[in-house]
This record gives sequence, C-alpha cells and structure tokens, in this order.
Amino acid sequence: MLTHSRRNLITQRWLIALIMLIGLLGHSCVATKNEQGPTSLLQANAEEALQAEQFDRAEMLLERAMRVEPRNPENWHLMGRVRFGQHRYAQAVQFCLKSNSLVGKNATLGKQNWILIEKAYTAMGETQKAAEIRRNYLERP
Amino acid sequence: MPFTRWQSARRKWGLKLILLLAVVAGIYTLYLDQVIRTKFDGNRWALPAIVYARPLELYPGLPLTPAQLADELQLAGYRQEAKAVDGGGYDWEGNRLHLVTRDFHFPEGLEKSVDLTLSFAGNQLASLTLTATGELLSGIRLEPARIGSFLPQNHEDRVVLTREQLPELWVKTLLAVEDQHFYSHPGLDPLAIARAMWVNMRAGETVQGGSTLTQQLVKNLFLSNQRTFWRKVNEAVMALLLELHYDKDEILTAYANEIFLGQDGNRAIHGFGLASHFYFRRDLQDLAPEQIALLIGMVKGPSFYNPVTHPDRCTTRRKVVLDLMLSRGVIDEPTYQLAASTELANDTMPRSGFNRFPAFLDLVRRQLRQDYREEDLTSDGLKIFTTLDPQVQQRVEKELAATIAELEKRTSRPGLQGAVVISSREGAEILAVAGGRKPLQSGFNRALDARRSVGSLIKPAVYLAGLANGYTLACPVEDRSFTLDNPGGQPWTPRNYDRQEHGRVPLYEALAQSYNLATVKIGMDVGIDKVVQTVRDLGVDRDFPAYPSLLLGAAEMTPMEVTQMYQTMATGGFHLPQRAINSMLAADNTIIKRFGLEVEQRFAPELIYLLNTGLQLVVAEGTGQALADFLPPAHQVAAKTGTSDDLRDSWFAGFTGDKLAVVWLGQDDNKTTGLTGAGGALVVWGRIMQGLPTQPLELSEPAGIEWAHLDRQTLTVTNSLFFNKGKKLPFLSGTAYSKEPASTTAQAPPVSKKQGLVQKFLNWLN
Repeated sequence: MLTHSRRNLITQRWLIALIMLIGLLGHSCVATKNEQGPTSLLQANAEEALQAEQFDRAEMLLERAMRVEPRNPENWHLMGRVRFGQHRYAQAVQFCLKSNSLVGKNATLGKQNWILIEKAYTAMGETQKAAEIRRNYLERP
Repeated sequence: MPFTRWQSARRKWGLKLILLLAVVAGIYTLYLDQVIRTKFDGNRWALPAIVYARPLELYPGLPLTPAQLADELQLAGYRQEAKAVDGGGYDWEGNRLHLVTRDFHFPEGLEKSVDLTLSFAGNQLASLTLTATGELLSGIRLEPARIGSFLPQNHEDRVVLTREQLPELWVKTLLAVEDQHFYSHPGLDPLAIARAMWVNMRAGETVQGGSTLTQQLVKNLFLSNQRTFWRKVNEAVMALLLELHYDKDEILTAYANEIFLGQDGNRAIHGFGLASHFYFRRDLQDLAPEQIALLIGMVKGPSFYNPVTHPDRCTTRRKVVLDLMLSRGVIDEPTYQLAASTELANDTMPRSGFNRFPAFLDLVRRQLRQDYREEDLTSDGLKIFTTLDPQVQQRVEKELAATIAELEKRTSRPGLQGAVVISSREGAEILAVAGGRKPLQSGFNRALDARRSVGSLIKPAVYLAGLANGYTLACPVEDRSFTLDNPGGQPWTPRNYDRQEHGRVPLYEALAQSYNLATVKIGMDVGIDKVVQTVRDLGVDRDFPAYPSLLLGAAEMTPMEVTQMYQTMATGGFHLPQRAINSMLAADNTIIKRFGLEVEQRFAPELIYLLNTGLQLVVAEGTGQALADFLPPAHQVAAKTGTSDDLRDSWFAGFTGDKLAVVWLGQDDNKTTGLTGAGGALVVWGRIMQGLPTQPLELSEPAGIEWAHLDRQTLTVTNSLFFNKGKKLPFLSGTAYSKEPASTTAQAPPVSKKQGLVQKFLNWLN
C-alpha cells in the first residue's frame, strides 16, 4: 500500500520527468539558479586560511559553517584538508569518507575526497591501501 | 634612696615594656604589611569560570521568529530601548529589528560591535544589513549568552575592570559621596573622622562614617564587619600601609572591583563592572548619571537599598547621591533635573541567566573535571564556550514539565520523572539537557546518571547486526512463541507486548511493530555477542552481560548513552564523540583548549541506510505512528519507542533532519509508570520538536543500494518495469531477491556497485 504522501511524490516525479522531456525536446535546458549558501563566505575564509596554512583558524571557521550547514559535503571535505594539514592523516581519511557519504551526485567533490584519502594513506605509509584507492576510484575511466 | 631606686626601676621596666610593645607592634605591622602585599601582588581575586551558550548564527533564511530573537537577546543581556545607540541595545521599527552588538572575544579573535538592521519574512530571517551603509550581509553571529559560572568557594562573582575602564563621572561621584579628599589623604582622613564623630555625637547614633575609600577597601578585603576597637586599629594601620605601597589609582581600581553590591541567589555580586551588567545590562562606561548614582548609593547597604526589593528606599538614596553630585559640581542643573526625574523601574530589571540550566552545566563541569582541577575552574577566569542552544533548552524544560504533569493526571500515578537529551544530528553537539522535571533543581541528573532498562530501544542494534549478517528488510522472520534454555537459570519464554503471535512477518515490520519474538529470533541467529559488539560500535563502549534478555532491552543505559547510540545511526554510521564544549579561553583571551570534531566510520553507510529506512517505517506505520499528532508525515522522522517490563520506563529516541532527541520517563523508585514509550515519552518528544524549527529527514542514498517491491501477502520480492506490487524497500545491491537470510556468515556489503542509468531513472520514478 502506498501512503498518500508517497503517491503524491511519485506523481510529482512523473510530472517533473514530463516537464524535463518537453524542455529537452525544445532544445532548452532548465536553468539552475546559482545561489550562494549561507556558509559560502565562511568556506571562502576557511579556504584562505588553509592556503596560508592557518589550520586551527580554518578549523574554527569550518566548525561554524558546519553548524549552519551540517550536511554540506564541501565543509566535511575542507575539514579533511585541515586534518591533513595538521598531519592527522587518519582523521583526514575519516572526514573525506563522511564527505563522500553526503556528496550525492557531485562527482567532482567525490573524486577530490578519494584523492585526499589516497594522499593520506600514502602519508601514513599504508601504500597498499593507497594503491587500492587509486585502482578502485581514481584510475577507472 | 629606696624611693628613687624604686622609681628608677619602674622607669627602667616601663621603658623595657614600651620597647617590647614597640617590637611587638612592629612585628605585627610587618605581618599586616605582608598580608596586604601578598593579596595585592598576587592574583587579587579568584575569578569564576564563565560559561557561554553557543553564539547564534544569523543569516538570511534562518528559521527564527522575532519573538525567539527577542528572547535570545534578553538572555544574552541585551536591553530593549526606544532607540538603541550603544552596544547591547536593540529596538523594533515595526517588524524590523535594529540592534547594536557588543565587542566580544570569540576563540577566533575579537569581533567588534556592529550596528545592524534585521528584517523578517514570516518565521524566517529575511535580511541582515549594516544600518549605516545599507550593505547586505551574508551572515553574522551574536555574542553568546552567559549561562552560568563556576564560582570560587566564597561564591563571589565579578567582572574585573582596569583604571581606564572607570568612567570619570563614576570616579567623581564616588569621591563626592564617599571620600572627598581621597587624592590628598594618606589613607586616613582626620578631618572626616572628626566631622563624623561630631555629627554622630549630636545625633546620638552613628549616622555618618569617616572611613576613607582605602579604609573601606581594607575592611572589605581583610577584615570582618564587627565594630570593635581592634578592628578599627587594624583597619587604620592597614590603610596607611596600603597607601605606602600602592598608588591612588591602583587603590581606586581595587575598590571598584572589590565592593559588594548585591546577592543573586548564592552568587555574590562584587564590583561595579558586574553590578552594572546585573542591574542595567550595560557596561559601566555606558551608564547614565542616575544609574551611576544608584550604584554608588547602594554601597552604603546593597540589600537595604536594593532597587528591586526596596525601590522606594533606593529612589530616596539615589536622590541623596544626585543632590550631592549637583552640590559638589559633578553634574550641572539640567543633567540633575533629567536624572532625578527618570523612573527607577525603567532601568532596573535584573534577570539572571546564571546557572539557569544546572543539568547542562553539570555535564560541562564533568567534561572539564577530566582535565582540570576544581580550583582552576573556579579561580582563573576561564571562558568556556559550550554548545547549549537556549531556544531548544527552554522548549525542553517547558514541555517536559507540562507533559509530565498531564501524564500524571491521566495515569493517576504521581511522582513521574523524566530526562531529555537533544543533540545536533550531524555534529553531535549537545543542544539541551534536562535532568528532571524541575529544571532549576540541581540534585540528581537523570540524563547523565539514571541507568534504566532501555526496552525496545535496543532493537535497532539487533536489526543492524542482522542486516550486517545477511538479513534484508524483506526477509521473512517467524514471530512465534518459543522457550530458550537458560543455563543456570529458569527457561526463558519471551512474549510480545500484545501477548499475540504474528506469524511470518517481513523483518522491517517486526522492527516497525516492535515484535519481541521475531527480534529474539534474529538476535539468537546472529549471536548475542555480535549484538553486544554492535551496541559498542554504536558508541556505548562498555560490557553488557550477553544474556538473551539483552535482545529485548534488559541492558541498562542512561539517556546520554542512548543518545550516543542513536547518534551513530543519525550520522549515517559515523561515530562522533558528543560534545558539550567547543573551546576554552584563558582570562587574557588566549585559547587554552579546543574540543575539535572527531569522526570515525563504524558502519557501512548502506547498512545504516537500511536501518534508518526501517526506523522511518516505525513512525510511518509502526509503534511511533502517534508522532503524526505533532509532526507532519513529510518530516519522515526515524525513531524507536521503548518500554521496559511492567511499564517501568517509557522511552522515545529518534531524529529529524537536524536534531536527535532522546526522552525517558519513569519513577525514581522504579515503580510502574502506567505508560508505554508511545503513550509517554513520544508525547514529550513530539511536543518539544513541534515547537522547534526542524528539518525533514532526508537519508542520503549510498551507491550500493537497489530497490525492489515486497508483496506483503506472499512475502516475495519483485521489480518489474511497470507492474510492481507491494512495498518498495531498499536492499544492498544484489541481495533483493535472496528469499532467505544468507546465513549468519557476514558478507561485507558491496560499496560501489553501480546501477544502470535506466534502472536508476525508473527507480526514481517509482
């Protein structure tokens, strides 16, 4: 038995598919509004701090960003980079795994996470794991 | 001559005696000198640690009503004014809020005061602009509310000011009222003493004191309140010594910080810096003449002239001080007229946010005690930045108390108690803690200390162990009565809550309906030790006796431990240690400790995805259905009810898109409550969440998931392009069509198996 809300959802999805089809046929595409999230400024500042190797500062900025947007995978990835900069490689891996669990369809960010994970394993001297990551996630066409 | 000899002997002994007395007096003076210098050269005051709530991050789109913001501002010590000018003031212009923040030292550094205008759209913050330039801001944070302090043993609290922070008007008024010759006398003022004696003699009682500020400071710092001759002598000697070693400004500053100015519960308000915050919500520098007059008037008797309890006396005293200010040229006539005509009630409204949340402060203190000694916490002026969300905490306190009172009436069983823990779903930051139904009672903190049977709250761990060992959400499980041999004890025959058997049921239904028989079957099949290990991996890292009764929640946990267990589910399988503190600053604002985020993946995201889908079904169609009375089904909350034997404990644990909450209800003496998890704790949970801004729970689907349909009648799984029947359920890729559990040998879930694009699209449509 489908619940009422579930049925609504399915109808909605069929409608969306139909609209997209019409859009495709008309050689137009649905424009996505490129909105900046409430944490984009904090992320930008954290990025600056990372570049300047001010890892503690970057960490505090990102914790603020995560309090506002806790499920933004970019924040978790940046925290992975902070931990990498702090030479806490095992934690860098974990933050990237967390980022990947939220990354959805953002393949670019997903790949960046695997790249950092591979680097972290290499830095820890776990060459086998690093090679595994390369084989499974980075060298595939 | 005998007489002369006797006289000379007497003189000799007299001289010796005087010499001896002089030596004793000298030694005693040296001793007093030592006492003074030790106090003045070292840390003069034990400064309490200040505990702050989380700072409120403001950004366009934030769910926040004007009333909620006003409440936050009040708690953070802001003043509502006709027109805000100085830091810490705000005013309303229709639906727009004009606000001037204060300078504040965050762990990241000093943030300067800004003048802001906020506009609202419905229940959301719509925009943030700098008032002067109209520049739009993407976000800003308010300085956090001061929610408590860890006071030194003497319970003295103070905000220490420097000489530069003492406004000239305050200095002039103080000297005019208390010590006109402060800058010229050597610590004692013979003229003032003579005048006071004359006035007192004429009046027949003590109406005027002749003490200098230095004497008053000495009395406050070193001596008792007794009016004895020796105390007076000590006071005079020490005042002279103090003036010998320290300059006038240093003595004046010490006076400003030492003097007692009121009592707030067990907290003694010392110094003008704190008194100014306490009575006026302003820095001393920002006080108006009549406010300065009021505080200085209170020196004579802080309780007697208390503006809240004795407004009439206080007004009269303020008038005396204002008259002196005028007659001694401190203020001019127009200023005097304005000050004297200002109502007292408008500017005095102390509202203490101090130690308002004892259960949360208890948690903070326990976390700190692991690393710090008690005296460091109560004397070094530490600043502790915590994760407490005052909005959530206040909601929790209100709803817990009100709902418990209602439930007691309904069940006619008085003495019901409760505890609540709320944390942020992804960050594991503790937002609120209630340790009992009376939030201000600081005794037994049930959230941290009440270890109670968790009942069915344990079941997610059993099902997670099952899913990790070959079970799927669609696996048929036998919910039929059976008896287990119990080596060394009575045979055990578990029963369902409704005393019925439900036959062959799919696994998700056994979880959603909380069937005991099916649960024990799964747990025994997987192995109790694996279930125990799952509980530990979820974050409750201690030993539990591996008896079959553990599968139905005989294990005892505190609400905080349950929160940790469910946190790992809420985060998608990542373990994050729960945090109540973010960072600590020393008195000079340098960071001395950070409690950073730590993450550890404990479970494959796919397994947690299946489990959480099951927990959503608990609310959608199982034992948690009553939650629909409080939150719309679109919130898709994942939760579990829990009830222990004989209805002794009523539990509800679950999470929305942004918050995790655990509620426990029970009697302290472990008697029955007459409540199930759904009939008691769920109601508290629902009412708390209903009034908070919460986000719907959207689970992120990992790559290794496929979808199929379960026909409830035949318990078969199908997935055709167009003619699907039954409930759509997620499976680990490649496991949807296995009819029976794939035995207890665990198969690691495939992590990155990709579905075809067409199949994904069709799944999405269905």
